[in-house]
Amino acid sequence: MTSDVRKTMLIAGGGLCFCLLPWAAILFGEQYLISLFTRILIYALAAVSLDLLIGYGGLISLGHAAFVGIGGYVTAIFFHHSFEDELIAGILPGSENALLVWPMAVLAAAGLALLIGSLSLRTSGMHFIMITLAFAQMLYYFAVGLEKYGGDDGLSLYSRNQLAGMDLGSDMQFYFVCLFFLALFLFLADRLVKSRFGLVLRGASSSRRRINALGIPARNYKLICFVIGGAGAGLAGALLVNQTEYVSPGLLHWTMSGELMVMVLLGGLGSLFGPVLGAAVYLLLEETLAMYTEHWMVYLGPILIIVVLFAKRGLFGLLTLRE
Amino acid sequence: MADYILQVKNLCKSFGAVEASRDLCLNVERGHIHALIGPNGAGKTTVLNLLSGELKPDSGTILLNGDKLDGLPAHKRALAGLGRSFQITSIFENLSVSENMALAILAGEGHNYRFWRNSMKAEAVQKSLADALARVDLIASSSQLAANLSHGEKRQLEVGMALVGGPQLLMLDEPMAGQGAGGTVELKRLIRSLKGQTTILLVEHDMDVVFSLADQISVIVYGYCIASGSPEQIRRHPDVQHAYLGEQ
Repeated sequence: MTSDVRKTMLIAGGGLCFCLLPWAAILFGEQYLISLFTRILIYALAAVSLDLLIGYGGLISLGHAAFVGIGGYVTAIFFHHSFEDELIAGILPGSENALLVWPMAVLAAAGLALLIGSLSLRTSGMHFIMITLAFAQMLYYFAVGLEKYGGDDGLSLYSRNQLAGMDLGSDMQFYFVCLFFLALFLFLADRLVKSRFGLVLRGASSSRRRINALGIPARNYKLICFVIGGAGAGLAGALLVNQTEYVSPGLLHWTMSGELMVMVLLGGLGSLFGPVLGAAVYLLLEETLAMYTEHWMVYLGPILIIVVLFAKRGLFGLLTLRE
Repeated sequence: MADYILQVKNLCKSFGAVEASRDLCLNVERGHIHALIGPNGAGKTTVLNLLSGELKPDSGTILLNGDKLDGLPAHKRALAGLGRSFQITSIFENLSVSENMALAILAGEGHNYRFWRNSMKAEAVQKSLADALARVDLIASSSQLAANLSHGEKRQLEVGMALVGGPQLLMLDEPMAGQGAGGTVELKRLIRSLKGQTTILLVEHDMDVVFSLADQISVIVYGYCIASGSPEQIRRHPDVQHAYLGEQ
């Protein structure tokens, strides 16, 4: 079996499992699995968007939480103001409508990515890692200082957003909304990396000298990649806040960026579908290990080291690349 | 008056106390293969880097077809018609051979902010990919990952990519370095086939290659061009014999 066939089968199989999961959960009376897997889908979306940056753009960002966070906060703030029936900053009315708020969350994240990216992309390598981290931490402390929206404690919402014709309050329906967005983002990202834009991007991450010698201003392409990745993370943030009906500065903390990076590495850098696997394995391990010990990280660490050492292309590479 | 495609006037560049280029002047005639020779550390690669825009000169002027290149970044100079290969072969190792060449083809298209269609199906790629690969004899390995090519094939691919846009001036930095006998023959054949169509600025240590291919030779010693002329004139030039050829 060639690796292409294996890959297609793995993706189709995985997709089928995700589609059938809610019913399986109901059948076995383990309804909490639906919300666990919703969480997996949302983290997977954020991890895939980070994979676009790291795996294809060669942009090792340790500040991806900033975009998840701003997506989350935009959603929560709109909701809060709608609930309290007061204008945001005295001008904008709040809203609970997903069709309005989610695009706002995505746009805000994209705008923030444009700002952070255009400054960070003046550097590269270690400096890029540090500057993206610094921006995210700056926003984290900014969110901690937002007394109006709960500051350190965060902000609870009273329900999920409204989506025409659907009931997002139903875990089952919300699960499929998340699955839809993950599938859509994967599809678009897959087209993207195979397009002319993607070819330039992959080339630029491989040889800066050659891309320059070909006359291509690589930084512009990397910036657009950074913005697209940020937008994806913003959507994930909006969904995450909807799932938990709660937002806190924790979404912006560097540990969030770190977790997403671990999911990408665990699943397979530069494979788009790998990070979905990475998110699933990471969160399931966390869930299982946490049942036995609160120090579950002690066990997760070695597992991670083994995967990174022995499967350089991650779990996805391990499953697809062997002959 | 001769038709110069490239004119370099009084180019200076220092790295701290080391003067890598001192008042360097150079004229390259259209259609010629112009070789730069000189002992190790003479500043030949520095000249290419100053020309391609990877380095900024301290002073001096570079004219391509009479137009000033001063201050332009590397990618704009490439679009103006400067193609090059590097001393350390520089290709996209993570892409396949076809993708490497396709990217070189698409680079000449202006912009590539196209997010939807598969890059390999672009019109320009369909039209010229096969020819571009055939020119450097890489059709057979087109689907291989570039990282898996041999040394010689990587160099062929690099030169092939530099040739795609039909550059005004092709700069080759020690193309024969690290090549086996087979690779040298193949590259010599390729360079000779370009003679008359593409102007080439060749930095090379292999004197057999230089004297068999070049129309003009400039000798650089300590960042200064001590002599320029036909291979015959250079061979007989007393300073050159003293500085360089005499050592061999």
